[in-house]
Amino acid sequence: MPQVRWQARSDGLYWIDVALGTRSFSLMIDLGLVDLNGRVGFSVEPAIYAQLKKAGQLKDFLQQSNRDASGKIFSSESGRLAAQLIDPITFLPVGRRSAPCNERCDWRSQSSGRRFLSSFEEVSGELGFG
Amino acid sequence: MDQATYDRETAINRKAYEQLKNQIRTEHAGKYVALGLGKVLAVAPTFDEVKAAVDQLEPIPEHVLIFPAEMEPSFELVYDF
Repeated sequence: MPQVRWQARSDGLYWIDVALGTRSFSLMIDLGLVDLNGRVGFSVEPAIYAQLKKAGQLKDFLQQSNRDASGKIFSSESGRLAAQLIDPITFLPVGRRSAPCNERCDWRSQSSGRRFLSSFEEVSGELGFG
Repeated sequence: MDQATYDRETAINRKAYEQLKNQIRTEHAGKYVALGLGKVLAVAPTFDEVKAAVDQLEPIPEHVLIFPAEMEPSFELVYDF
């Protein structure tokens, strides 16, 4: 399994490069979104979700409940998507590419405008932060 | 929605799903299902159609799960910090 590394930011946020469907994005890993199934969360711009959904790349949508740091509970939307890490040096895909319907990428839209995408851990290969 | 409401609604919906699971999977295969208030609220071919149907309800239930009929709904609370 190839290993790639990203530089941790001074603000404590972790950004990685991921191909979602046919496009590449820099996405923030939200550690609070790691769930019991090993899914990892990414924070993405609201427009990305709309683009992916409009392009038909998201499948198996779910509406579920999320709780934010203030304790507020709200509904969110998610869907499945193929994902693969992108090496930040070479910009080439690394590790396994998830099958479109075998890995999860959860897209969560919130009223605040902050949106999330999460992916099964097996998408990620070896993650490292320096 | 507060935690007490969430816990109460989730318990009702979880119990309902266990009772309706087989029926949902056989009668609504290939479609999306909205579960809330302890019952199936809407069924439609797409997620957006089901969500639109739920949004038309008066009042809109506070805890609604939408999922493909052949998949498990997500009862677990996801933490966004």
